[in-house]
Amino acid sequence: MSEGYSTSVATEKPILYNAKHERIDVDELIDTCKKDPNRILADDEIGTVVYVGDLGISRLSGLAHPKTGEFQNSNGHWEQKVIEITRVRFPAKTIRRQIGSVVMSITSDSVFLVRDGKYIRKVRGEDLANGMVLATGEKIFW
Amino acid sequence: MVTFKNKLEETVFQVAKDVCGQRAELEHNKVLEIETTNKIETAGFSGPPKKEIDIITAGYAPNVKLLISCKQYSGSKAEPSDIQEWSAVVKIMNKYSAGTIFLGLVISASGFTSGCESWATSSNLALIPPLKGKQTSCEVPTSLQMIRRVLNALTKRLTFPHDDLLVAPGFYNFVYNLTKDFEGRDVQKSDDARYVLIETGWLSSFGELVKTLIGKKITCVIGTTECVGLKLTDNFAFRVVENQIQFGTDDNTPPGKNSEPLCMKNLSNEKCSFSFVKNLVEGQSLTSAADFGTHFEFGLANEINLGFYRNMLHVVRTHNPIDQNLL
Repeated sequence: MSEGYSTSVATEKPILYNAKHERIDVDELIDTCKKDPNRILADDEIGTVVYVGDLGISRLSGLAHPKTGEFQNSNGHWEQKVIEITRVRFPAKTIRRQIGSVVMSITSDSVFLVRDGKYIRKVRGEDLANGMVLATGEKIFW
Repeated sequence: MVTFKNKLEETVFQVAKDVCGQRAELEHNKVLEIETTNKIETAGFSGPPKKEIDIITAGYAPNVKLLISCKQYSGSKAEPSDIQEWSAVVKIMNKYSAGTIFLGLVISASGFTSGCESWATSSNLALIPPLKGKQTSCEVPTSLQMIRRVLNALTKRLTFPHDDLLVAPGFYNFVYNLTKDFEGRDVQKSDDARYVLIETGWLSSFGELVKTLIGKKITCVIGTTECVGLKLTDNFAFRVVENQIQFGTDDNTPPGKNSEPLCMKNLSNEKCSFSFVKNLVEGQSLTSAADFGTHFEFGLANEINLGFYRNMLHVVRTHNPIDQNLL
């Protein structure tokens, strides 16, 4: 799932919403998209990548906006616009981390933007450590 | 007669031809020139800016071209200077384009030094193999699978609004997202994958097994010298071969010779016959599944749990109390 700079959380069952802010099921969304072969950017040994950027799909990420740090909905979480949905065919290694107030499952090779002095650098999910601060200001606790 | 500078270039060009057909071009020592030549700022004593390069161009309708640079160094990785050079080429081509949109991609047989990433993201150049923040080895065949996946995906992606791809790091991230999971595939392969699709040999997962098989009916229980398994409706099959679980479209060629597996019933592990198990489970649909690592188990519609061990089947009725619902 991507919006250019998104983090990669475990995507087996992401929390998705349609343009009307109604909860939708990822399997049903992928099945619907498969009716238009052009939306299936890849469907192979690695997995499936589906383009949904024009459908107004958003995902509840549990984190703030990676650029602005803003929280956008009433639950205090940023609804991230989804451009592509990626389903990996084989099991991805996941780990648990507390980021800000949220305990979440992330894939070990997911990418996070972390403050490093006056710079921002990328850190793999498995390398997130206690005390790091995301670009959005959320602290890593464990 | 097309000549290639190295094997990587030859294979990448073949992939580009497969995907883009006649719109894939290879040119050596091509003098790449800008399309708009009447700008004052490009005037020079030797004419407008141009650069002699070796290039593979993958053309996309309506007017998007992907400029691919193939780097094959012996014993060293591609460096930031390689990225900077290609970035300059793509940037100038776009700045003085007469309508064509140019995207850039660099593929390196030996990978990239870590310093390449920020140069690539800031100039929106895609890298294959991707830089993932740790030392990973990526063989050339894997890189070629990556570029085929990217070229195919780009063909479809460009049929939708794609302005976001043109702004850094849109295209870099697009390619990154399409290629990052190859690492996981290769790690799984080296670790003796647990789940494998029968028809393709592709790695799979418990989730895909459940999505594929739950609801199917058992048409036959099979046992061979090397596996135990099920034939299912809609020509699906499930097999346990040593520690591996194979499932998917049935190829009707389970490994080994026909052989009746050891069969047990109830939690007390009493021996029973293969025909007893077959009579109990054939015709039943799969309602649930569980992988215990040491063995795999299906829940069936008639409230029987059917367990698969190495060359052994185990059936248990799930009614309570247990001692009054023995098989």
